[in-house]
Amino acid sequence: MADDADNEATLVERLARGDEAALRDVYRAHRSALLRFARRLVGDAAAADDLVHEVFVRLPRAVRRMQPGAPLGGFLIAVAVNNARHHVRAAARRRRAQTRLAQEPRAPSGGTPDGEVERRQLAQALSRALDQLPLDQRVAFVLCAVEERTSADAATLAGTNESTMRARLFHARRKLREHLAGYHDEGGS
Amino acid sequence: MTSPIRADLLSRAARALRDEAAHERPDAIEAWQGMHGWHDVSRDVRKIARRRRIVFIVGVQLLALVVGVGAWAAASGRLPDLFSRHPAPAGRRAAPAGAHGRHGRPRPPVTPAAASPAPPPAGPVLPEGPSPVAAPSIAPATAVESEPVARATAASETSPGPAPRSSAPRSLSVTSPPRLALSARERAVETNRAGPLEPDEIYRQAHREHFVRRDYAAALALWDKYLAGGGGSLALEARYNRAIALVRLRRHEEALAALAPFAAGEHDGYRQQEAQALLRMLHATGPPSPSEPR
Repeated sequence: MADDADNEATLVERLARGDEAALRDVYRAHRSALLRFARRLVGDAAAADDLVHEVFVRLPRAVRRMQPGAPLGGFLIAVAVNNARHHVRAAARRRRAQTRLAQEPRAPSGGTPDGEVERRQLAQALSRALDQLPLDQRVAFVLCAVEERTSADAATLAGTNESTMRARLFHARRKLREHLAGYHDEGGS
Repeated sequence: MTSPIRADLLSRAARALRDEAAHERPDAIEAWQGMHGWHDVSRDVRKIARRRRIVFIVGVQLLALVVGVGAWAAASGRLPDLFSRHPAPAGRRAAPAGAHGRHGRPRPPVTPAAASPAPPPAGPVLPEGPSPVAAPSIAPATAVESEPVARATAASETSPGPAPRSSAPRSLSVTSPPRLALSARERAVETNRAGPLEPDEIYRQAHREHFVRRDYAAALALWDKYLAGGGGSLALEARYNRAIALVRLRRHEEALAALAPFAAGEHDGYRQQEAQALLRMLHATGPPSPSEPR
């Protein structure tokens, strides 16, 4: 455990010096987890890729602001949160365009025994509902409800305090329930 | 109130989003994407580093250029020109030929006796702006404003020449604006109404009329008044300024008469060169024709 921390500290030090090999190591180790978070946050694979790309491009400079001893994975998520705004907007625009064009008609519920289509539709509905939220509340919901992190952990990642994070989560849940209320009415399931 | 179904729906939606992100791409595609993504990241990181290096180098070069230009300006005497855009008395702003050296350099502060401004060019430059000797006589006014008693005492003990020049323009610009709207006649009336003035105060007003307001008629009257009262310690400079006022007013004969003693060196060479240059100019131009505007 202590070795891991030492390794990470060394890695961060090399990153701060602009060592490209260190950046490659970090990329290999953390890209997948970061991409999953980005995908959940922006709700769009292409926008998530862009966000992850931006995080790693900014990392060599951003890492200089990292607090000593902080986990690198959490720092990457914090950087992603800080840079997510325009990616979220881009993804939301894309979803609105798709909705307008009705390119993906919703399949009748219960059509597949494993619920794959249902799950996908639900995820898309949630992504659209998340688009209606302010970014802070969106981040709070994704970190706490989707990624199942504690509010303290989420607060650290988002650079705020725990009570604020809880308040954001509360408001996010309330609004999302309102937005998802029509899901059944629209023939979701 | 939230129904259990809706709450359950939100939880299922959150789970669906979590699962979708986790199982979106097959491993092979994920690996390919990862490799491709790394190339993009690596390329962009290098590009940004290169751009930063270029910006740094350009910045350093610009800085060196600014420092070099600053050093050159300081060495060549152009620095004060660059930084002297703040308000200055009009008389000084419009004195390019006389107040500056051969290369446009501002003349370093010198004592009035040693002051030898560049002789006016052959052409009639005087009527276009203040005389070359406008600057020297500013200083006494400042001295009068700041510590008249000390200055007058020191001047009377040492020499008949005017006090050394200093940062007169600033104090002048501070004191003059409220009265700018008054005409020369009103000012003269006001001056008379205020009772007899101290010689230093007369000198100060004459200087202001001459070099700030450029009302040469009023200035001439005040120079005469100053000299009529004995002149005080600045009589010599006042006499020379009076001659300049006469030149400005194109009172040709009187100006010739007033400048002649200076040109002849009767005052130990004080303003001799300038007076000679002015006389040459006056002789060259001749008396003004009656129709010529003043």
